[in-house]
Amino acid sequence: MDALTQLAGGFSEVLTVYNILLIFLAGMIGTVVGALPGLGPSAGIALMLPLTFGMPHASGLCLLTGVYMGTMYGGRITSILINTPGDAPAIITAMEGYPMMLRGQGGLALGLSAFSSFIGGFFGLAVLIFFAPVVSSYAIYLGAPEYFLLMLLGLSTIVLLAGDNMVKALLMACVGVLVSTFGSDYISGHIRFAFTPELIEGIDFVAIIIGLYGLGEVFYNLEKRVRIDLGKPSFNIREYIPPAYAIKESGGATVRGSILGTVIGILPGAGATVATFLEYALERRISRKPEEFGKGAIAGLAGPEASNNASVPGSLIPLITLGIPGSGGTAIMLGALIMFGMQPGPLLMIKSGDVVWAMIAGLVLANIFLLFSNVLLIPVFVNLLRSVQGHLASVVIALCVVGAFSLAYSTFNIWVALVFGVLGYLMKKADYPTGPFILAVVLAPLAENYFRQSIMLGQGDWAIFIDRPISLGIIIAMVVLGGLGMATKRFMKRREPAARA
Amino acid sequence: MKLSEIVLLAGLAVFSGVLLISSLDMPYGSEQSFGPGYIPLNIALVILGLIGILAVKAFMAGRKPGADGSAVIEDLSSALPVAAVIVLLAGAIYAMSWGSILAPLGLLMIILSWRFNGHGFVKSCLVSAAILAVIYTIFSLWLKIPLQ
Repeated sequence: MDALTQLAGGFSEVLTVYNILLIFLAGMIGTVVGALPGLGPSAGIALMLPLTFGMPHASGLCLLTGVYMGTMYGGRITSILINTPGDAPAIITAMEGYPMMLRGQGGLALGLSAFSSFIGGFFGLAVLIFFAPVVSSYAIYLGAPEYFLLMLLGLSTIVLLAGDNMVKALLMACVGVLVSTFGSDYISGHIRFAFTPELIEGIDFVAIIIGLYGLGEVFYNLEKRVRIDLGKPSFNIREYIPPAYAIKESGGATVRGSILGTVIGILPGAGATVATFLEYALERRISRKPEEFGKGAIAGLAGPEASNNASVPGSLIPLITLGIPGSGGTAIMLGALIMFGMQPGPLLMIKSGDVVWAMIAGLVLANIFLLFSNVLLIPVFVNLLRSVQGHLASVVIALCVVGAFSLAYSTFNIWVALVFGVLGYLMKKADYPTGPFILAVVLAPLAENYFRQSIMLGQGDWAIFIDRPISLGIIIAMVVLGGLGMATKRFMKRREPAARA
Repeated sequence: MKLSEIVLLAGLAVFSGVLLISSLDMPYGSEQSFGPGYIPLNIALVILGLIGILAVKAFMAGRKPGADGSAVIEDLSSALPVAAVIVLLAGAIYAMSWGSILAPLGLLMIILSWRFNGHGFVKSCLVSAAILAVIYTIFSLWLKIPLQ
C-alpha cells in the first residue's frame, strides 16, 4: 500500500499537460533514435540531456526515461524491417522478425513485438514499484563468482543457437571470444592486439552487428538476386494488429519473457542480452514446433521482446536503490541524477523519493503512450520501406555506413563494419550460425573478467565457485536444467517413432 | 567444401594464427589468477583445432564416391557482383577519410541502384539524393553528427 500511495504522489506531480506532452515526445524521439542503426539508449539519453537543463527535476527525469524506454521500442524496427539490430538484445528480434518480414508479415511482426514489449515493460515496472528495495537487497549478495556463472549460463544457450552442426557453432563462438579480447584488459591494464590506435578500446560491438547483419544480408541478397516484394503501400490497420491466433500463440512466451527479463535485467553489464537469449532458448526448448525457430516463430519473437523491455525497469532497480548503473544508458542516467543534485544510492528513495516516484509514474505513462504511438507508427515505417524496396540495398548500405560512422565520428568503424559484413556474408553462404558468434562477443569479456576476478578472490583456488551458497545454487540449477533438457530430448525421441506408428 | 567455406576457414585460421603469435608476448598467468594472454592463446588454439576437424571432415566427405567438385566454380561466378560491391564500398570508405562522408556514399548508392539493382540512371540519382537528404536531415541537422 505504501508503494501505491507514493506512486499516486508521483502521478499527481507528473499529470500536467507539460509533462504529458514531454513524455509523449520523449517516447517518439526515443523510438526514432532507437530505430537508427548505430544509435541506442546511450546516444538517445545523451542527446536529450542538454534539454533537461533548467527543467524541473521530475520533468527532466521523465524526459530521459521516456527516451530510454522509446529506444528499446525503436530498436526492433530496423531489426525486423532490414535485419539490422541496433544493440545486442535486438539480435533475437532480427533472427525471428526478419524472416516474418520476408514472408510479407512485417506489419504483424512489428505489431506483435509492440504488444509484447508493452506487457514486458509493464511487468518490469510493477516489480520496480512493489519490489525494488527487496530485489536490490538480494542483488548485493551477488559477487564475481555468481556473475561469472550467470554469464556462463547465458553462453550455454549457444547449444540451442547451434543449428545442425555443433562444431561450426563452437568454432564461431570461439571466434567471437577471440574478437572480444581486443583492447584494454580491465584486470591487468594490458592492451591486447592494438594493431591500430583505435583498437586500444577494443572493437565496437555495434559496428560488428551493423556489418554482420546489415551489410552481410545486403551482400547475400545481391548474390542471390533476392527481390523483396512487400506489396504496395497500404494503411489498412488490420495488417498491423496481431490477430487472435498470434496473440494466443505469443501469450505464454510474453509472460515468461517478462518474468525472465525483469529478474535478469537487474544484473549489471549484460542483463537484457542474457535475458533475451535465455528466454529464446527457453521458448525453443518448450515449443511444440522448435523447427519453426529461426524461420519466423511467433513465440521466438514475442518472448525475447517482452524480456528486452522488462529489463529496462529491471536495470533501473540497482540504479535507484544502490546507485549502480548496469548499462551505458543507466550510466548516463546516473550522471543526470548527480547533475540534478541528487545522491544516487540507498538514500535516494529517502531524500528524493518524490522525484523518483514521479519518474516511475512517468515511465508508466511512457509505456502506455509508446504502445499506441508504436502501433500508429508501424504503417509509417512499413510503408516507408515499401516505397524504397526497389532500392533497399543502397538504403541499407547508407544507413549502415552512417550508423557505423556515428559511433566515433571516424571511418574506422565503417571499415570494421565492412570486415564483419564480409564475414557475415561468408557465414551465411557456408551455413555457419551467427548467434553463437555474437553472443560470445557480448558475454565473453564480462565472463572473462568475472572469472579472473573470482580466481583472484579465491587466491587461485577454484573452490570459490562451490564454497559460496548462491554460486553453488546456480551450478546445481545449471546441472539440473541440463539433465532435464537431455532427459526430455531422449523421451521425445523415443516417443516420436511410437507416435508415427 | 564450397569456395566460400574455404575462404572463411582460411581467413579464420590466419586471424587466429596471428593472434596466437601475438598472445605469446602477454603474461599467461600467475599463482593468484590468469593473465591477459590466457584466454586469447587457448581460444586461438581451440579455433585452429576446430578448423582442422572441419577440414578433415570435408576431405573425408570429398573422397566418398559420387562427391561433386563443381560447387566451387559455381560459387565463384555467382560471387563476382558481391566482390565488386565490396571493392566499391572499400573505395568509398577510403574516399570518406579525405573529408566528406556523404559525397562518396551518394556516388556508391547511385552505382548500386543503377548497375546492380537495374534502375535507370536518372531514377537512381533522384532516389539516392532523396534518401541522402533524409539521412542528412536526421543525422546531421537534428542529431548534430558531423557527416559533411
